[in-house]
Amino acid sequence: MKCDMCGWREAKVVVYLIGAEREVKNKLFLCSACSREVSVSWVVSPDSQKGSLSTRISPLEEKESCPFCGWQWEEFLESGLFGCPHCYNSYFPDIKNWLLENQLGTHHRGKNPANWRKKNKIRNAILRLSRDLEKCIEEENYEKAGQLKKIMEKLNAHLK
Amino acid sequence: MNFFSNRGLFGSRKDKQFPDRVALVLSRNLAHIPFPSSTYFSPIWSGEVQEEVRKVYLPLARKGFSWVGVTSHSKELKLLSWVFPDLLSDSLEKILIYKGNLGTIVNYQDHLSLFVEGWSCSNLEPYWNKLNRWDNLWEKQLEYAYSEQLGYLSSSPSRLGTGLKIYVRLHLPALSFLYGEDKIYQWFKDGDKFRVEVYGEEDQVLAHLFVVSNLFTLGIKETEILKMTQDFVREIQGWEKQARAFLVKSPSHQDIFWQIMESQYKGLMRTYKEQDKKKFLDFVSFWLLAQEEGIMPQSRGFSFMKIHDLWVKIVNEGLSKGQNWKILDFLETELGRIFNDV
Repeated sequence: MKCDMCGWREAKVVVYLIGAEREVKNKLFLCSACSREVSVSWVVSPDSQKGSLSTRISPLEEKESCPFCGWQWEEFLESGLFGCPHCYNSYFPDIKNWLLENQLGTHHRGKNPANWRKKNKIRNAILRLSRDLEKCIEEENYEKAGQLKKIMEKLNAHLK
Repeated sequence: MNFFSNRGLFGSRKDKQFPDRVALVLSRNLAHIPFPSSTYFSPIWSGEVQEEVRKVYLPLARKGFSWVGVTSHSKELKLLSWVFPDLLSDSLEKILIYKGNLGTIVNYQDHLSLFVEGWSCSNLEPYWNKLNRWDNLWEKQLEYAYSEQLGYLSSSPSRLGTGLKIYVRLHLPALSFLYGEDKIYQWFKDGDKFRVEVYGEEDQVLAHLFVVSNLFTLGIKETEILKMTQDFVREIQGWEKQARAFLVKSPSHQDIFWQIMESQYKGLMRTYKEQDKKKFLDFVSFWLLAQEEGIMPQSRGFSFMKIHDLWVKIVNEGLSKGQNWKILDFLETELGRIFNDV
């Protein structure tokens, strides 16, 4: 099943939406990435309906407000400031044009945080291992596949 | 080499060259927390940021760094207001952690504004090295809001990417005298790589001071910003130097200069009003130029007082953008002796 928020990653987390009388009103299926990012205000939104989130409140399409902090596009136009790091995701198509006009490019070329470099290395290693894993499964080399899976689990633990 | 000894934010410059000033600022935010600009940046978030920062600060305290809770009377922030003009008017609770000319402001426009401040504008590399080390120290213990594509995420898209802004305050009295300050200001504004600011209201140039800062932070490396700014500043300083040399060699221009100075001086001493702030500051600026280049007799007025010291006092304590400076009070208390002397 696909994630209700991004609509393309596999869902791994189920969020139960509880009503006023503590009854389960709805379920939300989220991938692990979106489950870490989604804000409480977004989940409890009365418009949140299973299966329609990605089309209705997709952060990339919605321009009314940032799903994490509620910051509105008009507020940015007024003050020139955003409300939170997630606003950049929410308003990326609009901000991209602004960046093309006011910055030298749309891609960062400078230094990056050491923690991020470390995690990025691990993520790349996991990606390579998952490719090897698929290959091993195709070749029915299950012993090696098991070993790779163990290494991947260890690396994944470092990312948390 | 102890590059920063007795210089910068809380030190004073003793040599009489261009009294320019520089500050490098890095905008950094903590991941998963709204920016201080957000209406959701409540005391809860502010407290959380401060708690995280305190963990970084504790070992720094043993190295002599100070933790200052900010009030509108904080002397340190008045000194910094040339870089952060809204610092004193912003109602959010702010913290300043500093030692010498190196520090961090917490909960200003971004969660953290890491800065280094100093006087020598011709070589910016040592400042960057120091600030970069300072940034590395913080990022070891904090998770910054960072995106692979957009770099360090800041409340303002104008600081995205590297988050590095270099502010240089240039004092250009000779160029202003020869070409007119408005022309110089317009020339700065016509450029497409730097932003220019002046101290007066409604874009009025005060004391021939111009603050330039880089426009671009994304799509460019820190070292490239550094080089671009350095080249630009060196070029301007070269022109100022040429203008000064021309003034020294040209008796006719010196005569005009002296006539202007004398009439301004007499006017100021006769009737001084609050609105004459610009006249007074421009006068002191020219006086400093004249004294530095040796084109004015030092025995007239102000003789007992070093104009350079007066200048440092004005630009450090009085000339803060967005601050209501009561120049009359300043003159009466600080320079009362001059009025009596003349």
